Amino acid sequence: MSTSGWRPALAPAVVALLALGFAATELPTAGQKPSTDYLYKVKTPVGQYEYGPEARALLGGLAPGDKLASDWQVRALEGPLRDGRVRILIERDEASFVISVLPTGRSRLDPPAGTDKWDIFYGEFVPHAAELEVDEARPLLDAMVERVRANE
Amino acid sequence: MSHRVAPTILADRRVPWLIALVFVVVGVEAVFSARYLHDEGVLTWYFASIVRQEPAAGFFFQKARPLLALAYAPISGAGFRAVAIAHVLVCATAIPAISAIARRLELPTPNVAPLVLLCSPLLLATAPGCHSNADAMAGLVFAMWLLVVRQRSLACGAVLGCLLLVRSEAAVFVIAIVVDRALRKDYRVAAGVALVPVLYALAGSLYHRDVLWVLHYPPTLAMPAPGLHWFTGTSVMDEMRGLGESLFALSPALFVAALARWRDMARTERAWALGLAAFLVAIRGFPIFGLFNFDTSPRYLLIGLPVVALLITRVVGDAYDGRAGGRPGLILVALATLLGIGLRGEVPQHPLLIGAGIAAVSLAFARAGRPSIALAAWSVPTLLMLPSAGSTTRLDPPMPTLDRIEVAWRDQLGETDAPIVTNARLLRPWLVHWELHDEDRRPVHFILQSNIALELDMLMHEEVGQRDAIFGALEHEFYGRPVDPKRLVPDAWPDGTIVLLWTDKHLDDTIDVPRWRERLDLIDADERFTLGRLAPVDAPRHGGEPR
Repeated sequence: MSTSGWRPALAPAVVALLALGFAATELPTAGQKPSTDYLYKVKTPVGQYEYGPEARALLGGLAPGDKLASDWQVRALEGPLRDGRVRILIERDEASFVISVLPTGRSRLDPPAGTDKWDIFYGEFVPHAAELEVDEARPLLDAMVERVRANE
Repeated sequence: MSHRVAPTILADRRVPWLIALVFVVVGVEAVFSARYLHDEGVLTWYFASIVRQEPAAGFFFQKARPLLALAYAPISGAGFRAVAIAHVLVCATAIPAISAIARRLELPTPNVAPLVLLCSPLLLATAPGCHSNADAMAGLVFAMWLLVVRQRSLACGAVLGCLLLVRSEAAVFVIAIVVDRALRKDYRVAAGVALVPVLYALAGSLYHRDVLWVLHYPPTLAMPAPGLHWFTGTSVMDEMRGLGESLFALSPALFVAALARWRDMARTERAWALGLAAFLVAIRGFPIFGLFNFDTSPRYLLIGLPVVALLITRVVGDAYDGRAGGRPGLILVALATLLGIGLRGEVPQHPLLIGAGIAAVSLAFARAGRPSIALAAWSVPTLLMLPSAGSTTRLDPPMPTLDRIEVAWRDQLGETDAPIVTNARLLRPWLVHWELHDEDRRPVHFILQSNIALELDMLMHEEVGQRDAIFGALEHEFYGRPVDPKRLVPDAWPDGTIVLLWTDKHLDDTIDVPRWRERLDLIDADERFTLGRLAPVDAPRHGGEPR
């Protein structure tokens, strides 16, 4: 095979070098399984993890027992979790739900509220019948947006 | 470019049978080791059991994939392992069949197609896992074999019609084959396709006493369960980030198929290739728009594997004939590379980049007149990567968690006689696998979560007794005995009841989780599960909430 016989191979060879070179930088290191955390929407009781100073600063010092939107009370907080999420368990009477504050774009869903840097979701209603429509949750979401915007 | 003679092993008629034997050995080992024990796979067995116990109610319950359930019903009484081994054997038939198809299409290296099947992480997971996706894949190969090798258009159509009742995503390939044959004035395939669903619908109308029962009680809900703010589909970017891993799971050599040259293909191959392209766009597009209740599970891609295998066989054969892949294929591979580079970050993109990379290496050697090295360039890495490729299928069980549950079970619950309440679909199969299950001493009661309960309510016909019949069958073989909605509170269970709550987005919608947790003497917990026993209401609790 002459050198010219290899010429048509040049372009795919360059693509191969690029692809495999970048693939090498992406490979998980030895003993580390590829992360599939992004596939799971793990929901655990709020308060299982630490409520760190970073999250506390973002929420303007929000703490358990504080009131939000007049009649809702903060019961527990945690974060930032591994995906940057801060979770706030909020209750009123016998009902509760969770507000999650995530770095923008981290969730695959459209957030009902947020700032330029943070998306705000709500869910995990207990009991389920206490589910709030977006309009009903709006005062709470707005209060959270205000806090985050002031501290982000 | 020069013509090279392909090694005889690539056309030897004995080789596909040898590959099939290897596939069966690997598959049966996976069945016994529960390597791919997965709740959706076990469901194939449960559906077959329903049809065995309640033939009419089960067969006309579309959710149960009735024709597939009927096929496995006779052996369903022998247990999951027996069904799973039969399943591996059914899937293995696709291996010699795809080689015969390639031979009839006059591809010079027909044994490449079986090799591609053997090297598919998804097929290696779904065959022993008992997923219906693998049956649909084998069924598609059988239909293609009937059409191309045996030239039985009507029979091919009938098999394709059956596939529509097994996996709806088969429809894209069914349409491609029907249209291709119709354009050649062969309408028997279309007739065969129509025959099976029509006969099924007519027979079912006698049971349901409703001519339109097929529409009134469809196989699945068209949209996800309503009222969940967390579950409204995926974004385009998320879909793109997970794309490489899914394609890799289908076949690490997938991008080699993209190198097939349009002008070298037979007309049949072109129709199938167009079907594959349409299928890939559709199956990855549906989750973005939340259509047809498809999520991003890689296993939905599996039915595309036969066409991928035949296109790769075409590429290899053409390389030996001195016709290496052309520019469109190279551009596609280059675009995949750029996509992989651009998406690096939160989700590792090495599956996409490796897939594109080995295709590019293969193309380079094919263009340099080295077809055997081009073949080795994708087949050797693909084979070597197989042992670590299982996680890309997302079908391997969460072993650390299950191992932890097993240890806690052996240590603290070994001698306990108490009912078990759980929403974990894998718990009972896992306990059975480890011979820790005793239905008399510790019956498993399964919490039907809101999404499943809603689906069953919508898809079963209560007035004709279908619901009662099927729930009666579920009492015997299912993830557990379905828990009566009135017993979804801890007070309805005796003290000491073993409770395993699996973290799931639908659990909060089904039970009052904090109320259950408050009653638990905690045994073990992590972010995926909580295991404990119900304590008397006023007794001091050990462990408490996990922190």
